[in-house]
Amino acid sequence: MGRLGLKGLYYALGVHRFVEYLFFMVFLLFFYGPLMNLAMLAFTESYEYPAFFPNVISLKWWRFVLAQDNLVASMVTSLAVAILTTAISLCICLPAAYALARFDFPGKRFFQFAYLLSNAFPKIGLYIAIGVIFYRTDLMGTLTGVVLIHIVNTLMFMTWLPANAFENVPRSQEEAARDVGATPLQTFIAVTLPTAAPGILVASIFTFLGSMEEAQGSLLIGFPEIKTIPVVMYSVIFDYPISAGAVFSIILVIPTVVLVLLAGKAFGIRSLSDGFKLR
Amino acid sequence: MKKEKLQGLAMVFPSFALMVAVVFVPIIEAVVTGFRDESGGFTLQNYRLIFTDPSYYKNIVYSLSVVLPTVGLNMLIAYPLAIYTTYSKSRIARVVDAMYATTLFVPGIVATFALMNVIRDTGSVNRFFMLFGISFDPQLLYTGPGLVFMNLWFNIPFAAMILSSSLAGISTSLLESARDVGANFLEIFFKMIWPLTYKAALLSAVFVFIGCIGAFTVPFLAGANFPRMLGVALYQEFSVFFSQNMASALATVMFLLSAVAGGIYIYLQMKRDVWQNPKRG
Repeated sequence: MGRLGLKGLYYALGVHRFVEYLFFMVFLLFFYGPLMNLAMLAFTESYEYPAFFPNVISLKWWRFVLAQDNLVASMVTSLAVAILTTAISLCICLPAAYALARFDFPGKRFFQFAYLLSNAFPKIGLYIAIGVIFYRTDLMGTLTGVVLIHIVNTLMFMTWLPANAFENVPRSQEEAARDVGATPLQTFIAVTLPTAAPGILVASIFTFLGSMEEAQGSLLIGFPEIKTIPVVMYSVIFDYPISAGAVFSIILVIPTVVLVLLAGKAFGIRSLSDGFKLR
Repeated sequence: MKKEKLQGLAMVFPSFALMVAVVFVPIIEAVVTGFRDESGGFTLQNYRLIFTDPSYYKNIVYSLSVVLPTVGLNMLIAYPLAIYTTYSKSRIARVVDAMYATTLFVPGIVATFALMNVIRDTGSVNRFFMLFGISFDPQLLYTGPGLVFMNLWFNIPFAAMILSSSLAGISTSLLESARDVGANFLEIFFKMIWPLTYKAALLSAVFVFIGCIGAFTVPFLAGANFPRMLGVALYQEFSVFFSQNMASALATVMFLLSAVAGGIYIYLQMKRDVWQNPKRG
């Protein structure tokens, strides 16, 4: 029956379309099968071997996870770290972005190169190197240490994306503002910043999401004092039933889904993922 | 203008200073610390151990045996995927394009856990075959091939994105005219697409290499106990044995492995404006 159906489909669609559908099936299974499976596991109460679908579906593990004290604490920690990381990155990277986009100064090429280089190190090696320094400066297990580790990841695209945005602001508009008597600062606030805002916003969203999901650096530097959601998830995966980990995964994905949907609506999903290439 | 120069430098300074403090100083320190013994004196013992003690060098060999096939397979799959999503006008191609880009937003630890539950011996692959009464153990979790499999999930979309932005720069009329004069797909690929996009391909291969050699979450959760991937070995040395000298030496080895790949990456990036973004160059 199955083979007959497949054969029928093959003749109905023609070789080209048939292969395309087949490829699409494999693509979906590989990239989204695991995620769908995880979503299913989060609502599974009993999952006896060798059943493919859960024997009993319930919210049991949701109740279990939401009743854990350290979950709320880790949510607060994650949020605090992400907000601090985003705010600090914005404060130090935006001026650099503007300067790189607009000013000609000695060593400009060198600075651009340095941002690239900082991003070209294998992550865990870099974190260990930072950890060695943090031991000596008593930053291990501190909020400052964790935020610094997160900022390491954001420096490059927090500079490059806004720099690109500043570069794309039409100079003629700024000149027009200056012509009617605006000061440079007024021009920046009234013309340049609003025009570059989408690029800056996209960069900020990356920073925020990148910080929310950062797991390994936080584990290495923050554990056991500073526990963000991903850090707690390591131990959930090791110590708890699969369904608890699945619930945790969904909780971790919520901010991403919300922000990506909102930003995707405003700027298009492609402009978002284009920025992700830089990471 | 002199004022502009000073202003530019002043505005770059804070982020640059922070970068020096949290990236470059630690790296230099790690290289130095790798040559220290317990009492702080100079020694080559750490490196001697890494390259002669099987419990260390097997980790390096093992890491390469996972990372290099990952890079190869990744390119073999990402290239056709990028070509398909860039040039095909079908509706499925549009959907695939949006869908693989979306996977980049999935938090790493979530995706790792999701993949583990598919390939574990009582995972959904096994359970699926059990529906038909076939007892098939994938035997992938906690093995090298399993790590390659999981790495592919993370890196195919990433490489395909870099490739497709490069592919999009080739004018379709050029490709169509080649088609019109009778060139087949392979001829078009090797004579037109490859020469115009190999830099992007190399770039993404380098990225994938550095990303996988410096990976932690995937091998930590889904890798074997021995031999270990370098990232996990480093973590053990640092967080379990508290041996900062040894961890520093190992980190330096990891940097050196990436340096070869990174050299190519930097060289290409410096030229990036010219070849990837012709309107700015």
